[in-house]
Amino acid sequence: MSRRIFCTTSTMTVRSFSLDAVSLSKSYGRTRVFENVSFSIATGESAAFTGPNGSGKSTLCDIAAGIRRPGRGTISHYLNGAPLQGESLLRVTGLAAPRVNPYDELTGMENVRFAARARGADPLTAAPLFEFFGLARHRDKLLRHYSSGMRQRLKLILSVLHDPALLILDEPGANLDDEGRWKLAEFIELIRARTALIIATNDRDEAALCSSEVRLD
Amino acid sequence: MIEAILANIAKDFRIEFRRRFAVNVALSFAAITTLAVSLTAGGARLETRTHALLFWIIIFFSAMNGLSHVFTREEEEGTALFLRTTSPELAVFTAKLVFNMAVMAVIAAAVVPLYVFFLNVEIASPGRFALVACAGSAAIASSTTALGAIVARAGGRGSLFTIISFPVVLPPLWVSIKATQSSIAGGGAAQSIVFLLAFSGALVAVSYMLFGHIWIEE
Repeated sequence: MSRRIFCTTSTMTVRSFSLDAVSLSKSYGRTRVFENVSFSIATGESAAFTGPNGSGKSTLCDIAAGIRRPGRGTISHYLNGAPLQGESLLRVTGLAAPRVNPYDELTGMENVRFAARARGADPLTAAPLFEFFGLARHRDKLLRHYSSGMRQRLKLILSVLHDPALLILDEPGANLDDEGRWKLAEFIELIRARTALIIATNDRDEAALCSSEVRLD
Repeated sequence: MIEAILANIAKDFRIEFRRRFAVNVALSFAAITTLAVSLTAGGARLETRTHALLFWIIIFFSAMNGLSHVFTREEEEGTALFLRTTSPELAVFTAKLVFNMAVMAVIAAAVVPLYVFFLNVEIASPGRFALVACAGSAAIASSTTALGAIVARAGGRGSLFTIISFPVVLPPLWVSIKATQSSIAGGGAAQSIVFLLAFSGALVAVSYMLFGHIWIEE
Protein backbone atom coordinates (compact mmCIF):
# COMPACT_ATOMS: atom_id res chain seq x y z
CA MET A 1 0.00 0.00 0.00
CA SER A 2 2.84 2.36 0.91
CA ARG A 3 4.61 1.74 -2.41
CA ARG A 4 1.37 2.27 -4.35
CA ILE A 5 0.65 5.51 -2.59
CA PHE A 6 4.05 7.09 -3.01
CA CYS A 7 5.84 5.56 -5.95
CA THR A 8 5.16 4.93 -9.58
CA THR A 9 8.40 2.98 -9.84
CA SER A 10 9.17 -0.28 -8.11
CA THR A 11 11.96 1.00 -5.87
CA MET A 12 11.79 3.34 -2.90
CA THR A 13 14.82 5.40 -1.92
CA VAL A 14 16.38 4.41 1.38
CA ARG A 15 16.92 7.50 3.46
CA SER A 16 18.13 8.49 6.91
CA PHE A 17 16.74 11.69 8.36
CA SER A 18 17.52 13.17 11.75
CA LEU A 19 16.49 16.27 13.67
CA ASP A 20 18.36 17.50 16.74
CA ALA A 21 16.88 20.28 18.86
CA VAL A 22 18.92 21.60 21.78
CA SER A 23 17.64 23.97 24.46
CA LEU A 24 15.01 25.63 22.33
CA SER A 25 13.32 28.66 23.82
CA LYS A 26 10.79 31.03 22.38
CA SER A 27 9.32 34.28 23.66
CA TYR A 28 7.15 36.96 22.15
CA GLY A 29 8.03 40.18 23.86
CA ARG A 30 7.85 39.48 27.57
CA THR A 31 5.68 36.40 27.10
CA ARG A 32 7.68 33.20 27.36
CA VAL A 33 6.10 30.48 25.24
CA PHE A 34 8.45 27.64 26.18
CA GLU A 35 11.97 27.28 27.47
CA ASN A 36 14.84 24.83 27.27
CA VAL A 37 13.16 22.18 25.11
CA SER A 38 15.43 19.49 23.72
CA PHE A 39 14.56 16.47 21.62
CA SER A 40 15.84 14.32 18.79
CA ILE A 41 14.00 12.35 16.18
CA ALA A 42 15.10 10.18 13.28
CA THR A 43 13.60 8.12 10.47
CA GLY A 44 11.29 5.47 11.87
CA GLU A 45 10.82 7.37 15.13
CA SER A 46 7.88 9.45 16.28
CA ALA A 47 7.34 12.11 18.94
CA ALA A 48 4.19 13.67 20.35
CA PHE A 49 4.24 17.31 21.39
CA THR A 50 1.78 17.60 24.24
CA GLY A 51 0.81 20.32 26.64
CA PRO A 52 -2.03 22.64 27.60
CA ASN A 53 -3.45 25.25 25.23
CA GLY A 54 -0.96 28.06 24.70
CA SER A 55 2.03 25.97 25.72
CA GLY A 56 3.70 26.44 22.35
CA LYS A 57 3.04 23.14 20.57
CA SER A 58 2.24 24.84 17.26
CA THR A 59 5.19 27.21 17.61
CA LEU A 60 7.49 24.25 18.24
CA CYS A 61 6.04 22.55 15.14
CA ASP A 62 6.88 25.63 13.07
CA ILE A 63 10.42 25.66 14.42
CA ALA A 64 10.82 21.96 13.69
CA ALA A 65 9.60 22.58 10.14
CA GLY A 66 12.12 25.39 9.67
CA ILE A 67 9.54 28.10 8.99
CA ARG A 68 10.05 29.91 12.28
CA ARG A 69 13.24 30.80 14.11
CA PRO A 70 13.79 29.81 17.73
CA GLY A 71 14.55 32.60 20.19
CA ARG A 72 17.41 30.63 21.70
CA GLY A 73 18.88 27.21 21.19
CA THR A 74 19.75 25.33 18.05
CA ILE A 75 17.93 22.98 15.71
CA SER A 76 19.62 20.94 13.01
CA HIS A 77 18.20 18.75 10.25
CA TYR A 78 20.15 16.11 8.33
CA LEU A 79 19.27 13.83 5.45
CA ASN A 80 21.71 10.97 4.76
CA GLY A 81 24.31 12.90 6.74
CA ALA A 82 23.97 16.13 4.75
CA PRO A 83 22.67 19.23 6.58
CA LEU A 84 19.36 20.67 5.42
CA GLN A 85 18.11 24.22 5.47
CA GLY A 86 16.03 26.55 3.37
CA GLU A 87 14.79 24.99 0.16
CA SER A 88 16.41 21.61 0.82
CA LEU A 89 14.59 21.34 4.14
CA LEU A 90 11.32 22.49 2.58
CA ARG A 91 11.44 19.66 0.04
CA VAL A 92 11.65 16.92 2.66
CA THR A 93 9.22 18.38 5.22
CA GLY A 94 5.46 18.06 5.33
CA LEU A 95 3.29 20.09 7.71
CA ALA A 96 -0.45 19.78 8.26
CA ALA A 97 -1.92 22.22 10.78
CA PRO A 98 -5.09 24.21 11.42
CA ARG A 99 -3.18 27.33 10.44
CA VAL A 100 -1.99 25.88 7.11
CA ASN A 101 -4.82 26.72 4.72
CA PRO A 102 -4.82 25.90 1.00
CA TYR A 103 -6.48 28.21 -1.49
CA ASP A 104 -10.26 28.50 -1.54
CA GLU A 105 -10.26 29.67 -5.17
CA LEU A 106 -8.51 26.52 -6.36
CA THR A 107 -9.91 23.03 -6.57
CA GLY A 108 -8.51 20.22 -4.43
CA MET A 109 -6.50 18.93 -7.37
CA GLU A 110 -5.24 22.38 -8.31
CA ASN A 111 -3.99 22.90 -4.77
CA VAL A 112 -2.24 19.55 -4.95
CA ARG A 113 -0.76 20.26 -8.36
CA PHE A 114 0.56 23.60 -7.14
CA ALA A 115 2.14 22.11 -4.02
CA ALA A 116 3.67 19.25 -6.01
CA ARG A 117 5.21 21.54 -8.63
CA ALA A 118 6.48 23.96 -6.00
CA ARG A 119 8.23 21.12 -4.14
CA GLY A 120 9.52 19.38 -7.23
CA ALA A 121 7.26 16.37 -6.71
CA ASP A 122 5.12 14.46 -9.18
CA PRO A 123 1.43 15.51 -9.04
CA LEU A 124 0.47 11.99 -10.14
CA THR A 125 1.34 10.74 -6.67
CA ALA A 126 -1.79 12.51 -5.43
CA ALA A 127 -4.26 10.24 -7.22
CA PRO A 128 -3.94 7.24 -4.87
CA LEU A 129 -3.89 9.64 -1.91
CA PHE A 130 -7.22 11.12 -2.96
CA GLU A 131 -8.59 7.57 -3.14
CA PHE A 132 -7.14 6.60 0.22
CA PHE A 133 -8.55 9.63 2.04
CA GLY A 134 -11.93 9.41 0.32
CA LEU A 135 -11.68 12.64 -1.67
CA ALA A 136 -11.53 11.23 -5.19
CA ARG A 137 -15.07 12.40 -5.99
CA HIS A 138 -14.33 15.90 -4.72
CA ARG A 139 -10.94 16.65 -6.18
CA ASP A 140 -12.27 18.93 -8.90
CA LYS A 141 -14.43 21.00 -6.55
CA LEU A 142 -13.32 24.41 -5.39
CA LEU A 143 -11.95 24.27 -1.89
CA ARG A 144 -14.53 26.78 -0.71
CA HIS A 145 -17.14 24.04 -1.21
CA TYR A 146 -15.31 21.54 1.01
CA SER A 147 -16.55 20.72 4.46
CA SER A 148 -14.16 21.16 7.41
CA GLY A 149 -13.51 17.42 7.46
CA MET A 150 -12.76 17.34 3.74
CA ARG A 151 -10.39 20.29 4.17
CA GLN A 152 -8.54 18.42 6.89
CA ARG A 153 -8.18 15.36 4.66
CA LEU A 154 -6.84 17.55 1.84
CA LYS A 155 -4.34 19.12 4.24
CA LEU A 156 -3.11 15.62 5.08
CA ILE A 157 -2.74 14.83 1.37
CA LEU A 158 -0.83 18.07 0.79
CA SER A 159 1.51 17.31 3.65
CA VAL A 160 2.48 13.86 2.38
CA LEU A 161 2.23 13.95 -1.42
CA HIS A 162 5.97 14.59 -1.79
CA ASP A 163 6.88 11.63 0.48
CA PRO A 164 8.46 13.79 3.19
CA ALA A 165 11.27 12.54 5.38
CA LEU A 166 9.90 14.67 8.23
CA LEU A 167 6.15 14.80 8.72
CA ILE A 168 4.66 17.19 11.26
CA LEU A 169 0.96 16.89 12.07
CA ASP A 170 -0.54 19.57 14.29
CA GLU A 171 -3.90 18.35 15.63
CA PRO A 172 -4.35 15.95 12.68
CA GLY A 173 -7.66 14.58 13.93
CA ALA A 174 -9.35 17.95 14.10
CA ASN A 175 -12.68 17.95 12.20
CA LEU A 176 -12.27 14.30 11.16
CA ASP A 177 -15.09 11.83 11.61
CA ASP A 178 -14.48 8.29 12.90
CA GLU A 179 -13.63 7.00 9.43
CA GLY A 180 -11.23 9.88 8.89
CA ARG A 181 -9.46 9.20 12.18
CA TRP A 182 -9.22 5.53 11.34
CA LYS A 183 -7.76 6.37 7.93
CA LEU A 184 -5.29 8.73 9.59
CA ALA A 185 -4.11 6.03 11.99
CA GLU A 186 -3.82 3.54 9.13
CA PHE A 187 -1.85 6.01 7.06
CA ILE A 188 0.55 6.73 9.91
CA GLU A 189 1.24 3.01 10.22
CA LEU A 190 1.98 2.85 6.50
CA ILE A 191 4.53 5.65 6.50
CA ARG A 192 6.15 5.51 9.94
CA ALA A 193 8.96 3.20 8.93
CA ARG A 194 10.41 5.67 6.42
CA THR A 195 9.41 8.96 8.07
CA ALA A 196 10.33 10.93 11.16
CA LEU A 197 6.92 11.78 12.59
CA ILE A 198 5.86 14.55 14.95
CA ILE A 199 2.27 14.92 16.17
CA ALA A 200 1.22 17.94 18.19
CA THR A 201 -1.97 17.17 20.04
CA ASN A 202 -4.06 17.30 23.17
CA ASP A 203 -5.75 14.03 22.20
CA ARG A 204 -4.40 11.05 24.10
CA ASP A 205 -5.29 8.64 21.28
CA GLU A 206 -3.27 10.70 18.81
CA ALA A 207 -0.39 11.00 21.24
CA ALA A 208 -0.46 7.23 21.66
CA LEU A 209 0.41 6.88 17.96
CA CYS A 210 3.91 8.14 18.82
CA SER A 211 6.70 6.28 20.57
CA SER A 212 7.94 9.25 22.61
CA GLU A 213 6.57 12.46 24.10
CA VAL A 214 7.81 16.02 24.43
CA ARG A 215 5.78 17.66 27.15
CA LEU A 216 5.43 21.46 27.11
CA ASP A 217 4.17 23.16 30.23
CA MET B 1 13.44 26.57 -8.45
CA ILE B 2 12.19 27.42 -11.97
CA GLU B 3 9.33 24.97 -11.58
CA ALA B 4 8.44 26.46 -8.19
CA ILE B 5 8.45 29.97 -9.68
CA LEU B 6 6.22 28.89 -12.56
CA ALA B 7 3.88 27.07 -10.16
CA ASN B 8 3.50 30.19 -8.04
CA ILE B 9 2.97 32.44 -11.06
CA ALA B 10 0.31 30.11 -12.44
CA LYS B 11 -1.37 29.93 -9.03
CA ASP B 12 -1.45 33.70 -8.53
CA PHE B 13 -2.78 34.42 -12.00
CA ARG B 14 -5.39 31.64 -11.75
CA ILE B 15 -6.68 32.99 -8.44
CA GLU B 16 -6.72 36.57 -9.70
CA PHE B 17 -8.54 35.50 -12.86
CA ARG B 18 -11.25 33.89 -10.75
CA ARG B 19 -11.55 36.75 -8.28
CA ARG B 20 -10.39 39.76 -10.30
CA PHE B 21 -10.02 41.73 -7.11
CA ALA B 22 -6.68 43.54 -7.50
CA VAL B 23 -7.15 44.40 -11.15
CA ASN B 24 -10.76 45.52 -10.72
CA VAL B 25 -9.92 47.77 -7.78
CA ALA B 26 -6.95 49.33 -9.52
CA LEU B 27 -8.71 49.80 -12.87
CA SER B 28 -11.83 51.23 -11.24
CA PHE B 29 -9.75 53.75 -9.35
CA ALA B 30 -7.77 54.63 -12.47
CA ALA B 31 -10.85 55.10 -14.64
CA ILE B 32 -12.81 57.10 -12.09
CA THR B 33 -9.86 59.34 -11.27
CA THR B 34 -9.08 59.98 -14.92
CA LEU B 35 -12.68 60.88 -15.65
CA ALA B 36 -12.83 63.12 -12.58
CA VAL B 37 -9.69 64.94 -13.67
CA SER B 38 -10.99 65.38 -17.21
CA LEU B 39 -14.32 66.75 -15.96
CA THR B 40 -12.56 69.13 -13.61
CA ALA B 41 -10.23 70.32 -16.37
CA GLY B 42 -13.33 71.06 -18.41
CA GLY B 43 -11.46 71.10 -21.72
CA ALA B 44 -8.92 73.65 -20.49
CA ARG B 45 -5.50 73.47 -22.09
CA LEU B 46 -3.05 72.28 -19.47
CA GLU B 47 0.71 72.66 -19.49
CA THR B 48 2.82 69.60 -20.29
CA ARG B 49 4.17 69.64 -16.76
CA THR B 50 0.65 69.55 -15.34
CA HIS B 51 -0.28 66.66 -17.64
CA ALA B 52 2.78 64.70 -16.56
CA LEU B 53 2.03 65.34 -12.91
CA LEU B 54 -1.64 64.35 -13.15
CA PHE B 55 -0.83 61.26 -15.23
CA TRP B 56 1.59 59.90 -12.67
CA ILE B 57 -0.62 60.81 -9.70
CA ILE B 58 -3.31 58.63 -11.25
CA ILE B 59 -0.83 55.81 -11.93
CA PHE B 60 0.68 56.03 -8.44
CA PHE B 61 -2.57 55.89 -6.49
CA SER B 62 -4.02 53.23 -8.77
CA ALA B 63 -0.90 51.19 -8.02
CA MET B 64 -1.25 51.75 -4.29
CA ASN B 65 -4.77 50.32 -4.48
CA GLY B 66 -3.70 47.20 -6.31
CA LEU B 67 -0.13 46.23 -5.47
CA SER B 68 -0.34 45.45 -1.76
CA HIS B 69 -3.13 42.93 -2.34
CA VAL B 70 -0.82 40.19 -3.56
CA PHE B 71 0.67 39.63 -0.08
CA THR B 72 -2.14 41.02 2.07
CA ARG B 73 -4.53 38.45 0.63
CA GLU B 74 -2.22 35.60 1.70
CA GLU B 75 -2.05 36.80 5.31
CA GLU B 76 -5.75 37.71 5.62
CA GLU B 77 -6.99 34.42 4.21
CA GLY B 78 -4.52 32.33 6.16
CA THR B 79 -2.78 30.88 3.10
CA ALA B 80 0.62 32.44 3.88
CA LEU B 81 1.71 29.54 6.06
CA PHE B 82 0.66 27.07 3.36
CA LEU B 83 2.80 29.06 0.94
CA ARG B 84 5.75 29.06 3.36
CA THR B 85 5.59 25.29 3.71
CA THR B 86 5.34 24.55 -0.02
CA SER B 87 7.43 27.11 -1.88
CA PRO B 88 10.99 28.43 -1.57
CA GLU B 89 10.94 32.07 -0.50
CA LEU B 90 12.66 33.34 -3.64
CA ALA B 91 10.11 31.55 -5.80
CA VAL B 92 7.34 33.29 -3.85
CA PHE B 93 8.97 36.70 -4.27
CA THR B 94 9.64 36.21 -7.97
CA ALA B 95 6.06 35.18 -8.64
CA LYS B 96 4.65 38.11 -6.68
CA LEU B 97 6.99 40.48 -8.54
CA VAL B 98 5.85 39.11 -11.88
CA PHE B 99 2.23 39.48 -10.76
CA ASN B 100 2.73 43.08 -9.68
CA MET B 101 4.48 43.87 -12.96
CA ALA B 102 1.44 42.50 -14.77
CA VAL B 103 -0.94 44.57 -12.62
CA MET B 104 1.08 47.70 -13.38
CA ALA B 105 1.08 46.85 -17.08
CA VAL B 106 -2.71 46.57 -17.02
CA ILE B 107 -3.03 49.87 -15.12
CA ALA B 108 -0.72 51.68 -17.53
CA ALA B 109 -2.44 50.14 -20.55
CA ALA B 110 -5.78 51.41 -19.24
CA VAL B 111 -4.72 54.84 -18.00
CA VAL B 112 -2.66 55.88 -21.05
CA PRO B 113 -5.48 55.79 -23.63
CA LEU B 114 -8.06 57.07 -21.15
CA TYR B 115 -5.89 59.98 -20.15
CA VAL B 116 -4.82 60.86 -23.69
CA PHE B 117 -8.41 60.67 -24.95
CA PHE B 118 -10.31 62.41 -22.17
CA LEU B 119 -7.78 65.15 -21.55
CA ASN B 120 -7.04 65.60 -25.23
CA VAL B 121 -3.27 65.43 -24.82
CA GLU B 122 -1.12 65.97 -27.90
CA ILE B 123 1.98 63.83 -27.48
CA ALA B 124 4.92 64.76 -29.68
CA SER B 125 6.81 61.47 -29.02
CA PRO B 126 4.26 58.68 -28.44
CA GLY B 127 6.92 55.96 -28.52
CA ARG B 128 9.00 57.61 -25.81
CA PHE B 129 5.84 58.33 -23.82
CA ALA B 130 4.92 54.64 -23.88
CA LEU B 131 8.46 53.62 -22.90
CA VAL B 132 8.47 56.02 -19.98
CA ALA B 133 5.07 54.70 -18.85
CA CYS B 134 6.40 51.12 -19.00
CA ALA B 135 9.71 51.88 -17.28
CA GLY B 136 8.08 53.97 -14.57
CA SER B 137 5.42 51.34 -13.92
CA ALA B 138 8.10 48.66 -13.66
CA ALA B 139 10.02 50.80 -11.17
CA ILE B 140 6.93 51.19 -9.00
CA ALA B 141 6.23 47.46 -9.06
CA SER B 142 9.89 46.62 -8.34
CA SER B 143 10.17 48.93 -5.38
CA THR B 144 6.87 48.03 -3.71
CA THR B 145 6.63 44.23 -3.92
CA ALA B 146 8.81 43.56 -0.89
CA LEU B 147 7.13 46.45 0.94
CA GLY B 148 3.81 44.72 0.34
CA ALA B 149 5.15 41.69 2.20
CA ILE B 150 6.20 43.90 5.13
CA VAL B 151 2.79 45.58 5.29
CA ALA B 152 1.00 42.23 5.10
CA ARG B 153 3.06 40.85 7.98
CA ALA B 154 2.32 44.00 10.00
CA GLY B 155 -1.38 43.48 9.45
CA GLY B 156 -1.59 46.81 7.73
CA ARG B 157 -4.10 47.90 5.12
CA GLY B 158 -3.93 50.23 2.14
CA SER B 159 -2.95 53.46 3.89
CA LEU B 160 0.09 51.92 5.56
CA PHE B 161 1.28 50.54 2.24
CA THR B 162 0.99 53.96 0.60
CA ILE B 163 2.78 55.68 3.47
CA ILE B 164 5.80 53.38 3.53
CA SER B 165 5.96 53.12 -0.25
CA PHE B 166 6.04 56.82 -0.95
CA PRO B 167 9.65 57.53 0.10
CA VAL B 168 10.89 54.57 -1.92
CA VAL B 169 8.77 55.35 -4.97
CA LEU B 170 9.48 59.10 -4.92
CA PRO B 171 12.75 59.00 -6.93
CA PRO B 172 11.38 56.97 -9.87
CA LEU B 173 8.11 58.91 -9.67
CA TRP B 174 9.96 62.19 -9.96
CA VAL B 175 12.08 60.96 -12.87
CA SER B 176 8.99 59.52 -14.59
CA ILE B 177 7.18 62.84 -14.31
CA LYS B 178 10.14 64.69 -15.82
CA ALA B 179 10.53 62.14 -18.62
CA THR B 180 6.81 62.17 -19.39
CA GLN B 181 6.83 65.97 -19.58
CA SER B 182 9.76 65.76 -21.97
CA SER B 183 8.16 63.11 -24.20
CA ILE B 184 4.89 65.08 -24.43
CA ALA B 185 6.88 68.14 -25.48
CA GLY B 186 8.99 66.16 -27.97
CA GLY B 187 12.23 66.09 -25.99
CA GLY B 188 14.54 63.20 -25.12
CA ALA B 189 13.93 60.69 -22.35
CA ALA B 190 16.63 58.05 -22.88
CA GLN B 191 18.63 58.85 -19.74
CA SER B 192 15.48 58.83 -17.63
CA ILE B 193 14.40 55.47 -19.02
CA VAL B 194 17.84 54.02 -18.29
CA PHE B 195 17.64 55.41 -14.72
CA LEU B 196 14.21 53.87 -14.20
CA LEU B 197 15.35 50.47 -15.45
CA ALA B 198 18.51 50.62 -13.34
CA PHE B 199 16.45 51.65 -10.31
CA SER B 200 14.16 48.68 -10.89
CA GLY B 201 17.15 46.36 -11.11
CA ALA B 202 18.72 47.72 -7.94
CA LEU B 203 15.50 47.50 -5.93
CA VAL B 204 14.81 43.97 -7.14
CA ALA B 205 18.33 42.92 -6.13
CA VAL B 206 17.95 44.45 -2.65
CA SER B 207 14.50 42.90 -2.29
CA TYR B 208 15.86 39.44 -3.12
CA MET B 209 18.53 39.84 -0.45
CA LEU B 210 16.06 41.00 2.21
CA PHE B 211 12.97 38.95 1.38
CA GLY B 212 14.07 35.87 3.31
CA HIS B 213 14.19 37.94 6.51
CA ILE B 214 10.75 39.39 5.81
CA TRP B 215 9.10 36.12 4.85
CA ILE B 216 10.25 33.67 7.50
CA GLU B 217 8.48 34.08 10.82
CA GLU B 218 10.36 35.15 13.92
